[in-house]
Amino acid sequence: MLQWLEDILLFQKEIKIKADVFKAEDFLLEAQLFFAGLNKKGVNFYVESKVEEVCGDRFWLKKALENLLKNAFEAVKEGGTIRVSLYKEGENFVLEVFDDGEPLPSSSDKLFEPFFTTKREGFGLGLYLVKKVAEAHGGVVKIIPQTEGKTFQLIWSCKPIV
Amino acid sequence: MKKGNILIVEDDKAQRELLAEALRKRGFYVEGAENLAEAKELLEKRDFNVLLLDYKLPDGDGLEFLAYLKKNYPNIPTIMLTAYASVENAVSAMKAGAFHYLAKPLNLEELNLIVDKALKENKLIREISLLRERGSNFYLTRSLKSLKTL
Repeated sequence: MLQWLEDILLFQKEIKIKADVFKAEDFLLEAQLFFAGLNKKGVNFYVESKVEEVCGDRFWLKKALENLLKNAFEAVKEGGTIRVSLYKEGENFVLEVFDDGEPLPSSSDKLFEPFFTTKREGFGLGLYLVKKVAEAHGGVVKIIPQTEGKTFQLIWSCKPIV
Repeated sequence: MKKGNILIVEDDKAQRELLAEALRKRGFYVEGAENLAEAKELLEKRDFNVLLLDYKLPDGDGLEFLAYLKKNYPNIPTIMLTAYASVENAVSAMKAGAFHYLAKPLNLEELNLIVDKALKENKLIREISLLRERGSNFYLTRSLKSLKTL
């Protein structure tokens, strides 16, 4: 499907969480496959998980991670580094995407607003979707500036809803 | 014992290796080819049960290769993989005789489900071929016996 079309379709879709428990390994392998299809500039990509199982809506968490990865990939230079970590902090799951690319723009508080973008291409819906996914899980998204680059954190708690 | 032999024809090394890793973990014997020439060599050397074939390859078109497979290895169900997901591509692949069609980025659950279905199909085709062979042997033996009585 064309990327912009998918963005628009996901944007207008209401997020109804169907939480489940799934393997962290499979979830991250899908992220690796996604990134391999994206990576045309030799970016170093690392994934690590400190949990065996994840709880949440696999479809939406995957979409959120894909958007964070696209965002990170656009920010890094050739040969740059992106690192994905998945771990637990108390009752919360934390999905972290670090990139050593461009620092945060001065307008970073607007990053999660719909149709806000600092890029030439795209509709500015990717990070908005990440925020929607986090909120639908009762969680939050945080951005932590780093000496080089930045880290996005998607934090949510495990509450399976039947 | 391995659950089955799978050949992945995919030019992107990272995607090929990740896919192979995922399928090996499920108990399959997996080999990878980065182009059609390599795939042909591997097909001559080993008996594969399922083939995962990328749509665009450096030395040719996946759809054209599908025609080659249908002619030379009709028993191997082929699953087409493509980054150019569209209804048009899906229809072309199915018309050309693909067993199924998967869009990238791949969903592992969907992949596993379709690979399992393809394996069942392959098993069934092999059993039918074997029965046909046995059947024809049976008729041949009967015909020879009839000939002797003449």
